Amino acid sequence: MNDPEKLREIGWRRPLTDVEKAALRESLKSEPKNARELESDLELDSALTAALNRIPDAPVSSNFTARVMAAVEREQKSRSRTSESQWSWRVLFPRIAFAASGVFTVAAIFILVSHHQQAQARQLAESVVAVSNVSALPSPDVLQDFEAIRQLNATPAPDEQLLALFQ
Amino acid sequence: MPEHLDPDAALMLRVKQGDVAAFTELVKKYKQPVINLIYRTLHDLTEAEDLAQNVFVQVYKSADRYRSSAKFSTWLFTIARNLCLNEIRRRSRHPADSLDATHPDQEDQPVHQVEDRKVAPPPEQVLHGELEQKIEEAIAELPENQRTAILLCRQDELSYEEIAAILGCSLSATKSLIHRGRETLKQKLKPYLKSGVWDA
Repeated sequence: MNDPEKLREIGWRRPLTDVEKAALRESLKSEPKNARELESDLELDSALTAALNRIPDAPVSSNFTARVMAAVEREQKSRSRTSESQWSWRVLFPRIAFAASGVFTVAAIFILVSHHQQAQARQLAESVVAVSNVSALPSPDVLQDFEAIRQLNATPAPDEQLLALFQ
Repeated sequence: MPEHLDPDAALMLRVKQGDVAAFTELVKKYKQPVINLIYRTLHDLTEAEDLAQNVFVQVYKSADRYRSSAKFSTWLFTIARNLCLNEIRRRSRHPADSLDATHPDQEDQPVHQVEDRKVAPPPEQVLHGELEQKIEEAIAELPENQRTAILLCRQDELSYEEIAAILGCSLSATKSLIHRGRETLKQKLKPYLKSGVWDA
């Protein structure tokens, strides 16, 4: 591997081996920097990587893991309390809503039917009243003598000579 | 379960099924690198542990959303970095709480305990002498993205592509961040690096 970029990236994580350093020097020969600057740069890079790798770890409390697990347990308990209350609401609420809508629907239908029946009864009563106000009809036997009926309603023609005398 | 499943992903699949022991293994494996990253971002050990605890609790709470196609360490460090950024933003909104403010539950105790500088501070356990202090200071002065990129480089299990995923930028941008960060560190630490103390 003679790719200078790849070798540099390896050098960011760990000091380069002598073989890798030689390969990097070889690949950087075409760089404008002179050999001394290049060598200095490579050494600084290597020293920095070593220094970064030697940064000591931050101290961690001996009970850190126990504290995390205690926090996780509190979280689990909090979740189960929340899910229980949600569970009871999740189950009951739809059922209550369904039952309430059923009751409402039945009540609405009952009210509509009742109203319709009342309206019909009212109409019936009104028609009965209307019929009861009609006077007694003549016997149908009268209709047999049609001529007699016609003369009953006939009015005599006006006496025009008599009218002229009065004028 | 696929044959070539990442061991951490296999543990995480067990966590999804409620296996607490599997989660304990993950915490033990990653607590150090997570705290290392957070400590060097926030520069406070107590806060680093508190935030690291939140990271793992968040991982546990989000277990249902974990996909085995994603590498666990990438996912974990993404959560860690995001919580760090949230804390940095929170600090920038509340830069200086009163040092005289009293604790809400114990009025005779201050909220902020100021360390006695005559006594050796806990960070001395971390820093070994002036040389290490210099590199810690130099790292702390880097921009957050360069610092995070360089610190994540120390995690051998993370490839540069995975570091890019954690940072939320392209591979080339990530390598550029690492390169620029390292150039800044080399300039600041040149006398110490040339002294040969950190020869490989």
